[in-house]
Amino acid sequence: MIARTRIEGNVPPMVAVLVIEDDLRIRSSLADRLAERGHDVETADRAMPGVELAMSGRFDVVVLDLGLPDVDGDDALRMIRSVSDVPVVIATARDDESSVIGLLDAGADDYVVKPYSADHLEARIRAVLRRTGQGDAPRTISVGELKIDLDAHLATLAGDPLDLTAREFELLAYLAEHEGKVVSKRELLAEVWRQPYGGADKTVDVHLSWLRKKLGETAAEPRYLHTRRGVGIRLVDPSLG
Amino acid sequence: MRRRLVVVSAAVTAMVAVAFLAPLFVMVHDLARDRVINRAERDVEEVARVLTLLVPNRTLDEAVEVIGEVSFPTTTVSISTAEGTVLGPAPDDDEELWRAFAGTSFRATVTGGEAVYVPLELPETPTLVIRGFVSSEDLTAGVASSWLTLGGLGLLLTAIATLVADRLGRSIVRPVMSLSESTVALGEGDLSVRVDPDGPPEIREVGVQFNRLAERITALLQSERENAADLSHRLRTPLTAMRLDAEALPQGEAREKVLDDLAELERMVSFVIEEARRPIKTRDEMVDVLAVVRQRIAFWGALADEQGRTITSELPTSQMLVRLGPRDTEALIDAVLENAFAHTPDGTRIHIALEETATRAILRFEDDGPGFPDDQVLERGRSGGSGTGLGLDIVRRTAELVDGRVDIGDGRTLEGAAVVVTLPRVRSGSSVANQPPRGLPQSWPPIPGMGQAASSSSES
Repeated sequence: MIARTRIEGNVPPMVAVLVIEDDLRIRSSLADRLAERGHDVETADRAMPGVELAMSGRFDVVVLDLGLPDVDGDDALRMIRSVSDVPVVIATARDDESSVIGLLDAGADDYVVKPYSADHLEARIRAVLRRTGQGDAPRTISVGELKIDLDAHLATLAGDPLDLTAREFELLAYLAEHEGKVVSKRELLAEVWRQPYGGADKTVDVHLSWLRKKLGETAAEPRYLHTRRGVGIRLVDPSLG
Repeated sequence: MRRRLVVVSAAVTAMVAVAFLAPLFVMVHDLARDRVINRAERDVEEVARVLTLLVPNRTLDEAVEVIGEVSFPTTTVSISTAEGTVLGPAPDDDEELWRAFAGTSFRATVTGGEAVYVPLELPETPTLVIRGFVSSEDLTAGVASSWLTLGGLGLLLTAIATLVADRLGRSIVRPVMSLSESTVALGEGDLSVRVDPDGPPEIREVGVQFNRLAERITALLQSERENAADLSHRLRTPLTAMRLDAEALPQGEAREKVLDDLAELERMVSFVIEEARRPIKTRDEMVDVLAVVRQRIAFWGALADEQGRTITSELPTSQMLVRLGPRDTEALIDAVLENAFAHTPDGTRIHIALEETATRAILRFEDDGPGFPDDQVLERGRSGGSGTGLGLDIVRRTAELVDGRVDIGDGRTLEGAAVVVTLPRVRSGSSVANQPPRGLPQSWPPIPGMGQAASSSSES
């Protein structure tokens, strides 16, 4: 049986990204990192030129920093939203719940908390494009006998539903989206827990242990979840050997 | 203070009452005596007047017979001539009697009371002496009851004054006590405490100033926290730039090391922000620590199974409320367990015991690992191994926030390290304890795959 990771939806490999960021070091480094990954990047160091560019319709996604010198990031977001539905990912130093809720309510599609990595931001961009680009099409991930319905928040193994907590589901979905790739705990903390590379590593370990139990495997005899000690975790299709 | 006010008031009132009542007692006594003696004088004069009217027309014996039919309430009248007594009991006070026969009217103290002597000269009749005698009992009749009434009034006045002083004392002492309790609470770190200014103006003013002080402290602390959080937030911007730059480094050990160091720094910054965000202590947070311990043992059970560890526990059967929020309690237990998992090899046993004293809940975490390298692990940044070392520092700070403490040392059940967390219990009779625990689900969701470790009192 041939099984492979398949995510419904069409995310182009090259994305036109507009970065609105006043900090020169972040702006140039981020532009370089995203360009290295094959994306077309333009930058703006203030809100007003950034909003003008965002309205041009040339960009697939906008990365918007909140602490801008001319106009507050919240207002810039509202200005963009008033005339354009281009996806906006907010880069913020504040990760408290009220700030995040306020941003999402104001029209942001997603957010990353500083300090973020280029991989982290790119993953967010792709996730946003998947969500915004496919309308109501169902999104499912299949790895071997494992099927994950991202919209219904349901996971099944060989047709049997898995009893997962919300965090376990997100963890499994993230690993399945990156099938075959070793994902570090640090990345999981940032992506699944949305912690800015802080927090407790062991929390990830405990959730992975529960996930293994529920998938009917152990660390000693893994099927889907393979630990690379000191590096991270990798989800693979066991039928591919 | 209240008792002193009462005692002083009672003493002063009693003294004033005595000062007024003592002369009043003497006066009542003298007035009663004078009243009876004056009456005796009037009675004697009445007899003399009757005799004066009767004798010109009647003989002395006939006149005395008429007078003998008249009775006097308090005066015993006797009429004597030089030859002997013709009416009433014979007086035994010859000296006074002869003095009266000599023509002098007077009154004198005699055996058994007082007597009034009045001589009477009638035409063709020998000199008569009319004697009015008043007994000692009649002299003091009514005095005792008057004294009792006055004494009772004095006592009543003293009681009223004491009662008023007590009420007054309470109105002073109550706001002072409230102020004292609030000061203690503020000293213990409860910045939400305020007083309702009450009592005399001076104490009310102290209450107002106390509230201002508490507001000021809260504002200063809040400002400090905001500064710390703001600084930490601002640090995240250069950290982002550093991370993006570090990711551009060529793959290799140096790149990984720089990224690891950055992660460490980011973790520290996040910790500072978390600490600054921690709500200012309030007094009414509490949780059933037993339920949280059971839930966390269940949570960590999967990893323990995977790593060949055994978690055993000794837990009481009934709930144990502690003065700590549910999230903090959960974070505290997780931090200790994470520390044990991180710094002991796979297969290491972990034992958790929950004990109670009258006022404290004692959580003992033990393992049979190599033990702590030294006793500095509770200090910030000292982990005794890999990691930031913030874990046990968080435990210590969380416990100390509610007047608890953390001790480390050697195990009692297992021979490795022991972390002992002591938290203040909420007494079952307190008003807080009568409310349901806040923030804690009525029943924790079942965790599939868990054995009995989370639910029985002592098991493996």
